[in-house]
Amino acid sequence: MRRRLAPVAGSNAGQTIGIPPADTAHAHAFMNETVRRAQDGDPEAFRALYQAHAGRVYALCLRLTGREQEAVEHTQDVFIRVWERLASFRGESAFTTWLHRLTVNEVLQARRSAGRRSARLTLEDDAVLQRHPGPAPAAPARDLEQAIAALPPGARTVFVLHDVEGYQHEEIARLTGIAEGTSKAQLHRARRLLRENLDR
Amino acid sequence: MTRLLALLLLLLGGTTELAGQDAVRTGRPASQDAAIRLWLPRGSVRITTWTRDSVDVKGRVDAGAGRLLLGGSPAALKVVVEPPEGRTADGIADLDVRIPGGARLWVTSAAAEVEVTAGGGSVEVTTVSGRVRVAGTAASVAVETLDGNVELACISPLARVRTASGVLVVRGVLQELDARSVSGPLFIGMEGAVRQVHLETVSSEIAFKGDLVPDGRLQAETHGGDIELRLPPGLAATWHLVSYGGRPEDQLLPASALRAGATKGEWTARTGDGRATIDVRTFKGRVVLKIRG
Amino acid sequence: MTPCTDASPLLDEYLDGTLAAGPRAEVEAHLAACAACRAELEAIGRISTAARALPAALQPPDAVWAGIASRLPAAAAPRRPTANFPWLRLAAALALFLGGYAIARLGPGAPATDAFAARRAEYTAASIELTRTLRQDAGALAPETRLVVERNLAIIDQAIGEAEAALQSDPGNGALEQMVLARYEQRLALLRHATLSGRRES
Repeated sequence: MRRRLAPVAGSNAGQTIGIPPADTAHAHAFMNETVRRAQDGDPEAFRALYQAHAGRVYALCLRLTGREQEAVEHTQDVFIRVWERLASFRGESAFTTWLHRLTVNEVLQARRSAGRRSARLTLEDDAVLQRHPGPAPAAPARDLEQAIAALPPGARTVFVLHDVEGYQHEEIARLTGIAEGTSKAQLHRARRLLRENLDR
Repeated sequence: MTRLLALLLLLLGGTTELAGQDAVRTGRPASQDAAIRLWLPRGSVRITTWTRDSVDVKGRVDAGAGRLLLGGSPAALKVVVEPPEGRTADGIADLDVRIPGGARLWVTSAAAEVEVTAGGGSVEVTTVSGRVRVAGTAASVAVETLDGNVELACISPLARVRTASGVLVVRGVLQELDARSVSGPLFIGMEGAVRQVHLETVSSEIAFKGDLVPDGRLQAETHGGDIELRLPPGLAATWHLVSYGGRPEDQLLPASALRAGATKGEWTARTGDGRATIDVRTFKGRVVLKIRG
Repeated sequence: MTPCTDASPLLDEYLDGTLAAGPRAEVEAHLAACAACRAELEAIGRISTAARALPAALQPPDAVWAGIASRLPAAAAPRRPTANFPWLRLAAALALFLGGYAIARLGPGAPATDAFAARRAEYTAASIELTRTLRQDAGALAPETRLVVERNLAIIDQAIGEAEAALQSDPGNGALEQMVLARYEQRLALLRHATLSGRRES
């Protein structure tokens, strides 16, 4: 059961951690201060970071894996790493960017380790892609989220990173270790499969 | 892992192999204090001892279960049921194994039912989910499982049992017992007097019945379960009870022997010369002390 | 004239605006004459737009924070106002290595609660490492085995949470501290046990 968070940093943050609803600039300043305090090991600041960013991290993990239990585990692992690595975050990028990259790496890394043992289709398998267009889902998806979850892993990863998250193929190739051509082929495949599934 | 084991067996010079047939019967010489390792992924095995200087294996190994390999030297023997290559094993492997009385025995399995009647040697059983029973007399007993139930009904100076969710039942005569689970209950009923007992579970209960030697130690700890101790009246010990689930129910100690301790949830007592130590802790459960009938 | 099979994979790049001038002109020419490809372009366009419009965040289940709090109690619990004893961390590491509670006897007048916090941190770190190893080895465990491990881990984590919560209301309670550490030790033992079982099953 997925409940949706209210958008915009200010209002939701206000409800959960006791600052008044404010404009974006105030929210940014507050966030930077919170990151700094969390870096110093302040548990309340860490909790605030969680409240502010967990929804984003969870959404990304859920869409990348298509499974709630895995998404729960990955989200936990991401925040554990945040706590461990926060000291090395120097502010060279926005905290959100840093966290986003950490999340994507976490999910893909886990999949790489698990994938060593399985004989499933891997992201790199461009040639196999051409021969096997993929299984059709058993029942039509009720909405886009479900249809994305039903995609085969390689196609799902690229679709989520490209169409949902807005990464370019070059970046996706770097993050996932696949060729840019494979990334484009996977996106093509994902969009066609989604179209098939949603149009039924 | 079994591939390597099978290869080792072949290299050790002389292996008896029985390809999948229903009935198997084989044996090899083994010294009285041989080291005997048995590997059986699933099925069932009963191990007993005899006075002969040999290992005897009989039973049934279906082709689907794999093949039986027996090899090694009289001092170090291996009995292996090797699963078929490249496909999941099905079919029955059911063995009766006889080993010399003083032999040291290791049994490793994933899901087999293991029953050992020891005759003086040491016993070590490691499984993931099979049921394990150890009876007889052993120099030492160690059982480790994740999901299997374990029953010890043996005489040994030392027994160590670990499970995550299995039920532990321990009877017999032991000098030292260390029994731990996560979610399974511990039911301990000892004959004779133990020197050292450590009992632990997280969410389940502990029931202990027995006696301690004069300077013996009993430790029992749970998080969510009750702890019931049935001990002889007049046992001389220093008692330390911790329970945040309520005052211990005491039907054992002399009146007003049990006093509130330093912090809330702690009770202490001293009976007789206080030589033995009894240390009981539970977070949510109740502590119950009764007279051993 | 570009056949549909050639045009179809280019439609994606056309939609994303990353086609070079030459191929783009070819695709446009084909689209002008081909209703099927126009329909395909429109369909994938709708999907792409809908994807971009998906909510950026989704409410995570409560279990997420609970799991983080139980693995990082130092991050979840309020700070104790204690002085900094850096040498205690080394001593705690030694104590763990030696397998004893020697920490209590080391150092003049060190508050027991600092020793406890140090010990707990060591357990947590070891637990995190083992959990990672176990997750990576997850394919080696049979599904039923994995379920048993996860179920029992959840039981221990629940117990840790309850004991830690009690300790927060009663900080410095030695008996509670010992209980908390015992639960951490049980967690480590289960993780080690599971890792070994995995090796056995593969």
